[in-house]
Amino acid sequence: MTEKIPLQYIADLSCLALEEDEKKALAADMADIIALMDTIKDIDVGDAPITEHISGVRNIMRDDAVSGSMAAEKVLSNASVRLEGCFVVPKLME
Amino acid sequence: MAALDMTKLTIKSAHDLLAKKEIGAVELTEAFLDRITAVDSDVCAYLTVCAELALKQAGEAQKAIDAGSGGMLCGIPVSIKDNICIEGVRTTCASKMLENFIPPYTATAAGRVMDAGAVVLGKVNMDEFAMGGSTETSYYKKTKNPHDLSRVPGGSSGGSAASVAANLALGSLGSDTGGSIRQPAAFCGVVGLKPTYGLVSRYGLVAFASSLDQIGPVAKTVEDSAILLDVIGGKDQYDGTSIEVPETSYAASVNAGVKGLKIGIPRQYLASGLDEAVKSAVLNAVREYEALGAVAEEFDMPSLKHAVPAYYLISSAEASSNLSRYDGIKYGFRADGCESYGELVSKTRAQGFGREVKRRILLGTYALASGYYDAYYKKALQIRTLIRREFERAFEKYDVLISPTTPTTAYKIGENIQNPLTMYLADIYTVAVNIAGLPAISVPCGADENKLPIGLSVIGRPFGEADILKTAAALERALCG
Repeated sequence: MTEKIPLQYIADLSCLALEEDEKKALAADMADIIALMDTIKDIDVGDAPITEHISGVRNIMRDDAVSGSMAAEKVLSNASVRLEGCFVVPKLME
Repeated sequence: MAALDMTKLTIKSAHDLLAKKEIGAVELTEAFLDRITAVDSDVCAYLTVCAELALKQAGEAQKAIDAGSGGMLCGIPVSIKDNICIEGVRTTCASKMLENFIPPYTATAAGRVMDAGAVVLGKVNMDEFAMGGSTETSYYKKTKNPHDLSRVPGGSSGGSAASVAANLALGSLGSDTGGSIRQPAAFCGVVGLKPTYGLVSRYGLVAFASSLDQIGPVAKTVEDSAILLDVIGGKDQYDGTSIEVPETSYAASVNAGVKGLKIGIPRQYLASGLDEAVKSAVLNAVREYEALGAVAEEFDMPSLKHAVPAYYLISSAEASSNLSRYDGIKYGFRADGCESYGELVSKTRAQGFGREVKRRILLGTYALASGYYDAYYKKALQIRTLIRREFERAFEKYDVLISPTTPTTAYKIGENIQNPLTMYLADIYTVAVNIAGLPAISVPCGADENKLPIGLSVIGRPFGEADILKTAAALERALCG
């Protein structure tokens, strides 16, 4: 299974730090799931275009007018860690 | 207040009692809160009960009723799925990731029902981030099917369906990405409507798969579903995919009848894998429709057999993108003891998401990854085109299509949860509707030998909600009198 699906690579792309036992369980699950997904590979779709979005609406820009925005305190209210009106992240550079 | 038989109460009948002053809005709300206290420890539909908010809203509703300005939803107690934001009310998506999330704004659909005077009793359970078909992937609790507490209520809007079926709310708002309103409605013996993509604003709905998600009503009757849809539908400036549609009353359409209606039944939906009791109930419904003057026939939709893998590829790809926002920084769960940004994000996500959500993120990331994109995601989007075209051709000939909502009735809690593939394949009758953006409604059409409800789905043209409502209502009248 790990040969067919590079689980560690996909987990890294997904930003998921999986524990070893979970990786094993997920590898087994994913093998079954991918086998189902593989059934579409042989379907002849001809030159059918893709449908990304069903309604065909396009991006609509709102009027270029100044309007209110959410107060910073409200924006920050759900952050686990905040400091002096800012979100806090671990150090990015040495 | 005279003794109230809450099992017989509907939105419509409660509205009539409120309008005639035979009950008060506060008394009605108190009756539901009391029942939640008495019964919900068994059913486990609610994640958060908003007693204080509900009583305040009921008081306001009574003032509107007294002033003669209350509409059909004024004073009506409802529940809201816990992925639909209400400012100041905890919204968890049934995930550890959002255990303490208090939305700073209200979803348009929830705002519209509250503006119409509805009373929000609380937020109800669901599969984590709406990923699942049994409400068993909730981080918090397992909701039970009110018809048999050893069985699942369906999902992902299992709390919505169970709260209505157990008379713990008169209606509910759920969300449907691949059947998440219709399937639990079928399992719980209530009515669930997935609107046309774009009819109801998704603003404030926590995103799962943005090109498929729709908010819709769960209620006891078709008419009640129409009453809720009348309120939540319509263009919203905060959702660029919501669409302006002509002003209409869906509630007024339910009595139109089906004489002369042309009904198509995709042959692929009656094929093997369908439980005999479900098939029999659906075919019996067809005979009822024919007796009412409709014309029904089977026809082929060959691309439907590819709908499940196409759906899981598209929805998971979109989910993997949408859920990338959960990084532990701006809101939600944050892992402890991380020294770098990368470690914080990847540990937060590993510890904050449950197993099913991780499966979908991994599948979606895989489908979008370089080297796999064309074989999976692009191919799924081409199949989406084939399915859409087949529906378009079908609606040149038929007014509505009907199918079973689910291949079986509600199964036992724990029976399928260890086998994700079995769960995915059970979505066979619901996912194509989302892929094509169509409206569909599940209405009860019978019961199996264990008295477990069976649901029939009626699928309509884009914005053909009036057609599916009148079709579902005709069966409801024929079966229930």
